[in-house]
Amino acid sequence: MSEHRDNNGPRDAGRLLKCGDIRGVLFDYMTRELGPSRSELVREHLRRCVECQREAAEIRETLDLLQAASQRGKGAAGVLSEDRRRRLARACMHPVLDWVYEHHVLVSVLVAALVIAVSFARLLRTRLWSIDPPPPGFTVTIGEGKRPAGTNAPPVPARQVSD
Amino acid sequence: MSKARKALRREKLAAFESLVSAYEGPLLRYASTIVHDPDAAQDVVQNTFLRLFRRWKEELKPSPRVSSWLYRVAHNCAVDYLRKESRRRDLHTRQAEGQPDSFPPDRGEAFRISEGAERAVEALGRLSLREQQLVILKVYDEKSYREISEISGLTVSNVGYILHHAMKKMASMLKETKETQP
Repeated sequence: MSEHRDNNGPRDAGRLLKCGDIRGVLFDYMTRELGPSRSELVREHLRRCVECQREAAEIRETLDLLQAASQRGKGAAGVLSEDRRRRLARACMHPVLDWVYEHHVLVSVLVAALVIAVSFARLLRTRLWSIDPPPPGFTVTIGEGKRPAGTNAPPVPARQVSD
Repeated sequence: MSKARKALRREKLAAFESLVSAYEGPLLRYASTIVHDPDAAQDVVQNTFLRLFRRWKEELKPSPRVSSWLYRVAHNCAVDYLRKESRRRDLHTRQAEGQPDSFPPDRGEAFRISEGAERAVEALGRLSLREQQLVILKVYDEKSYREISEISGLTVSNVGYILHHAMKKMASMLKETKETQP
């Protein structure tokens, strides 16, 4: 690595400048991120150092190509599609509605669970499936006291169940 | 609807319009450079704005803080998309084998660039996502190191260091491709 004693620098006269230091800031220099005094140092160094000039040329070429590539699509309209814009407007103006839309599966499951729970509670309250015990004094007859057909078995006596 | 509510609604709508109009273009360009797909870039930008409306607690108006936040979230959304896409691609690799190559549709003059610039884009795609992010912000969007530092969460000196190495890498990649070309 060659070294230069930059005696002509405007402010840092006599400062030892290494190529490594300069190369480390070449991109900063090209994109105007260095202050004026440091830029002047780099410029001065590049005027004398062929190796750094070569490296600077490579970075400059890469930067130019990237800048050319960055023009791609610049002329085209960079806007969101109409349906996406509508979706965004809804998210901004109606956050609750948007939340429901976003979590529609969860909302559907919750609504279904709620409907089932309400129906079940209603059934429990009305007891549609339960057998009520017979009122006092009510008699239920099981069997009719007839002989089973085609047999000699004695007739089944009628049983009476009363409360 | 009361007058106050109507006014509030109008205000909200105006804030929405100004925000989306200010940032949709730069964000779309940024996202499409990372994901290389205009439709996916639209999804990325839509999700970015959705997150903004859901999470941003302060006043919604264009500002450097909102801009940094949007770029950061857009980058994360783009990276998420790339991860999902790479998983999906792995799944479909076998199916794609043996099928004829498909060419992207010609999207007009605005999307045509020189061969050299095309090589630069390819080289950019071979950098790490972090390096790509910084190069795009610096070269494409012409952001300062300070702005990039706010967006990326890196220190200003770190931004300069990564950019310097990214450019060196790209320069050597371009040199290689130049030498290998007939």
